[in-house]
Amino acid sequence: MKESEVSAAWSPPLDRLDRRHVREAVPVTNDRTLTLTYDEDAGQIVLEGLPGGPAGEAALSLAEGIELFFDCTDGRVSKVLIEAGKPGHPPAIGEPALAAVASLFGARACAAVQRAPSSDGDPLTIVAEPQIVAAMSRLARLDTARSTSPAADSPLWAVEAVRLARQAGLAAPVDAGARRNGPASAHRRRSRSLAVPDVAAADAQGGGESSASGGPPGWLDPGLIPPRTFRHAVWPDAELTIRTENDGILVEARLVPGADRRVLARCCARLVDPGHRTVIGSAPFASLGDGRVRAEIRERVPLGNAWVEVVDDVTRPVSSSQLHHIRRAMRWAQTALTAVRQVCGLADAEWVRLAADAWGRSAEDWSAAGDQDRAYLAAVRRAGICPGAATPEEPSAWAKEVAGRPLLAEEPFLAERLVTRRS
Amino acid sequence: MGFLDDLAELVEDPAIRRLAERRARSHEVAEDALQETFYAVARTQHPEAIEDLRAFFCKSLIRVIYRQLTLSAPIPAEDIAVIADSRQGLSSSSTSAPASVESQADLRLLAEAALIRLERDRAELMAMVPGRSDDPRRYRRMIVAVTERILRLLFEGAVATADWNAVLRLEYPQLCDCPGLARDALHQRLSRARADIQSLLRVILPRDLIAS
Repeated sequence: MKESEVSAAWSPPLDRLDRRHVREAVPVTNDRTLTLTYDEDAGQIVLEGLPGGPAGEAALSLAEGIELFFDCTDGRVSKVLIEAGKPGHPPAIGEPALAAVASLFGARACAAVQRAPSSDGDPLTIVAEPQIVAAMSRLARLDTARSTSPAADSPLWAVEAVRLARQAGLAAPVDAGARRNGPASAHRRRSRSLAVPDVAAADAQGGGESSASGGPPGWLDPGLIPPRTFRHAVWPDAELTIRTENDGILVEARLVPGADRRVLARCCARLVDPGHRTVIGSAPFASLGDGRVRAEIRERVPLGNAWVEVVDDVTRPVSSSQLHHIRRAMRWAQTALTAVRQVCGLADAEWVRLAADAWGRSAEDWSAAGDQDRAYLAAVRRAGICPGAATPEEPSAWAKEVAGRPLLAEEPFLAERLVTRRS
Repeated sequence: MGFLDDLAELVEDPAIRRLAERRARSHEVAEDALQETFYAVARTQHPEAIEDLRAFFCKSLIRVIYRQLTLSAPIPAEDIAVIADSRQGLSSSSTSAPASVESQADLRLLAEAALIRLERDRAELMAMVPGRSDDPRRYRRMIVAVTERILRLLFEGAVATADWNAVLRLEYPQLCDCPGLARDALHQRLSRARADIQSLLRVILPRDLIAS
């Protein structure tokens, strides 16, 4: 495997954290360079590369106390978080995390991580097996792809996850029923409970947006809804049917087969004003039969910014327009990536068009969120598959470097092979 | 002061707000992270187990900010089983406790192999279908196509036999859309087509995977 030299070829990105740098750059695979830092505020040691791209990141908890983040657009390791005790207390790294670092990056990297809180350390080259990292990357991204897939309930996700876990050298999973009550499940529940919520928003011009059916915009944010309940669509705008009436709005969603009715009973549709972080109105869902549910929100849609969202808890806070745009921008990018994977396996002009349109929507949302770097990156991806499309000038050095990276050309996930554009 | 009051104080703490803004690089997104962290920590079932609430809150806050750029929660690698945490199998009657993921995976792989076989042996399978219409060739071709569609639906989750009619109507409208076709005759056509599909599925899938 090719190892690259320590370098700092890019300027600090906008969202680079303001930490005490240990001045140790760590290349892990081919030309990847990660910077090792100690984050005292979080009590974490962080290995960080270029920021995540327009599709966001996917996380994999390698062991207790260590999480790997992979860029969803190009699959690279974007950062590694290693727990180092409580903020404000002496650093303490757990054995499982250290063992995982040693296993993945080697003993010298492990030693550097241990030194990170107390010393500047020495420049260090770290080697990771590209096949193993690639399997971990695909495994992490599989979960992200699944979370918004129309075929989210397909058992084929599990098939591929098991295969990838084997390829990555991770412990073979054991009985799911036993796990469900074990500490790992508890960990997952904790992770879910801290999942970022997302909301609705309005466009940057303040003119509001509309769904295809004329109502306020809305989509199913996987961070707001319970898993295995609502059915996603390939195209986010198609996930909810929103109709405005004289005295309110109707919100229809589709359920996955076998959705738990008790879980559904906790969910509601909300009309929100993200500009003021307020809930205008909400309503529970009632079954229409045939796998569809409807909520009738008896509030008039105000002029300006209003969005529809589906939440698993009516008391969830409403987040800002900016975060909404960020979340939806990532969702559009996921749609584009899904389409691109289909193109990879089966040349199809319709998928190409869908991918191009989705990258375009992602760029619009990133721009509305005020993130010109990722708007640029989404536009570059669109231009890559849509000859003639305009590419804006690169806003920063890191965005330029990320844009120059090769496209991730991979097969669809097994379960995605069953997805159609009509899904 | 109660737990929620302590949390509310932390949200308003200038040092913590500065930390949030520094990390989120945006006032609005920092505010989102603060309110989400409050929401998440407030739902902790055993707050008494938190030894240092400020440290816990800060750590949670930073975690929330990291999560703002991920659409899904992280997968614990030791718990891959959870991502398959669905009781849906290829059979519509999979109500028993879930088997190990390994065995489920083998089952799914078997089904995947069936789909590959259908693709590979399409001509041979077509020859097994009775020619039941005025255009036997088209009938055979459509029955195989509908079988593939239903097989794919089985991969996605459970499909009741009753749903097969809808797929037949969708994929093979000529079967049902004959002018003047009596209701009984229509039901008979659908019934025979379903039987032909089921026969094909029996050839390519183990019998216990097929909804009865």
